[in-house]
Amino acid sequence: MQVKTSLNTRRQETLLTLMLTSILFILFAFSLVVGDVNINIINGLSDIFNNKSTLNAIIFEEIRLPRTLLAMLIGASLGLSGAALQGMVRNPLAEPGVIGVSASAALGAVIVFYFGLASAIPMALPLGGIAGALVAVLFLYLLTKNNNSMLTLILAGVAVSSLASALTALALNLSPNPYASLEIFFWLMGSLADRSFTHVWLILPATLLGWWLMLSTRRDLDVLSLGEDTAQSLGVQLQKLNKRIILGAALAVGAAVSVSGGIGFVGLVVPHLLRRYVGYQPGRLLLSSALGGAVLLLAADITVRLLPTQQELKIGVLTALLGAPFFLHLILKSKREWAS
Amino acid sequence: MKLKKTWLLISFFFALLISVNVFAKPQRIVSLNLCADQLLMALLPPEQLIGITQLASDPEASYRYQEASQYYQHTSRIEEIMALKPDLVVVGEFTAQPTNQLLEELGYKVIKLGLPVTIEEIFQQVIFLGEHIGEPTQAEKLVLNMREELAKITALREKEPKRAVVYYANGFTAGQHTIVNEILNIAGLDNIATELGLNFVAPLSLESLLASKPDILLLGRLNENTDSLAHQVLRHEAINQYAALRQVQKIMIPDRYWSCAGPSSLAAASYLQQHLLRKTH
Repeated sequence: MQVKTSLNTRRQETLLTLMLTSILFILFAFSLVVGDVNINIINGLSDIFNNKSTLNAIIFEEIRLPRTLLAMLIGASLGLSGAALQGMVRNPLAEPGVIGVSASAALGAVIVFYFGLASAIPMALPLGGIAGALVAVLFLYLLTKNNNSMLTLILAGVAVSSLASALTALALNLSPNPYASLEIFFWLMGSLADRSFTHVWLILPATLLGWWLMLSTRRDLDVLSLGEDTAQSLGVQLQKLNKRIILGAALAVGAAVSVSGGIGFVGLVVPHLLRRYVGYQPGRLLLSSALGGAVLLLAADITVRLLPTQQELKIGVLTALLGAPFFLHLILKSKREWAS
Repeated sequence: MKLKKTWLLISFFFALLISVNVFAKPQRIVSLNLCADQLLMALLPPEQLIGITQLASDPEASYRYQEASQYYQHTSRIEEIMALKPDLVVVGEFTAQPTNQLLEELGYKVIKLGLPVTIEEIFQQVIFLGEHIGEPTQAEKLVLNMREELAKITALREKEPKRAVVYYANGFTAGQHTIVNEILNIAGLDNIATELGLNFVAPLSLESLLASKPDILLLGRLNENTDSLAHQVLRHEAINQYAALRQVQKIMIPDRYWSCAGPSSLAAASYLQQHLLRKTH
């Protein structure tokens, strides 16, 4: 019986992975076709393959491709980090945006970006974001270590988030650039408009390292769902597990936020929707959440591009419209736990 | 006898008129708007123009930033404005509206300057301002100078206008009903944003910008102060590659040339023309 369900979930998991991958593939192709200008796809692609520089090729290669890749990378980082953090603190509300990690990463990136450091050393931008994210994750980890109630986590998240946002606003106001204070919308809501390959290369190393760190805890996370004592008796090194997830999430989220601003709720919605298809196992949830996050963010970015607004809608507005009801639903569902 | 009396009467009236005029001529003028600062500095000495904004000395925003140091620069806070005891306050129609309103309610004489979008409207505005500050001859002289300069610029226009597009921070461009559009036309350029049917300052996506196939790209502030997301779009790799592909001329024009309509607008047109000529010859 046990074996049968396990086999079933494994098949279900493979099916899910395949499905998400194929959706991602379709969206990827669609994303390259969608834009302000109608360009001939075949011509554009053939120009790229023949290494000819034409208008079509430039629009494909330098505008749409980096944007699409960033949506996938950042979406995957957010989904994966959400799933990993939820597994670590065993709380479905842990999400980079909700618990203030994105806001802190934005603060780190803003300080580095607006005071000239990032233009001197480009790598400083993701590093600033990572440093900000790391401070927030560590703080939340220490806070919830002994008191794993939902209330503590959410309230601490609210506090961290508002402090980081206030400091971001302060830093932007103190910045020498007159446009800076208007850019708070970008840092709080996020956007992928007009990003280029520079940004892809900037965040790629930290993102991949973060993914690897989080995915390497796959097995241990499954065991951890049985409880800390059981996990320890089965040989899971909790310290090592926590360290990897904290560092991994900080790397992935910090790098992502430093080029896209804080995009909320992806890490909340995706694991929540996919959990049932992986047999509620936090370790298995990781890979599918990464794929799901990429699918969700890419779809959101395509929607933002298609909406007939005069100025492009910030992508975080869309994910929040989608995610906030989920958040409420999750809170209502687990109202019982509030007493603890 | 009768004639003498008449003369007396006439000269009396003259004296009255002159005294009234001198009395009515504002002696303590304060400006609350960057564009008003620049026009007033062209017409008035520091003794009469007793306060201008702090922006006026910002080399990025103000065309007359060097002269501004000769004038007193206030903080734009209403209490300081009142302490200056102005008898005339010149404000922008669309800037610092709460302050303007409060000043009017407190009984100060306030005149509002709109935003001219054609060169003729600029001339009208200068004449209007000259009348209200009691310097009509100075104002006429300024307009005359501007007309001469305009004639010089239009004489130098190229026969076949090139197609240009302005690209500002945050991916905005200037279409019809903007002074920038007028400046391009004066310089002898066709504004692509107007071709595309855009009005006022409007967003233009990077893709549409490239697809419009401009001959000339006018980039605001590319070389100054780029530590903001707003300016990152001006450095996008797609723009660089496109410029290399079609040999598009990129002209960087500082914002101070066209942040306000006024004498600086003609300076902007001639700046563009000089940079164009330098390239073609």
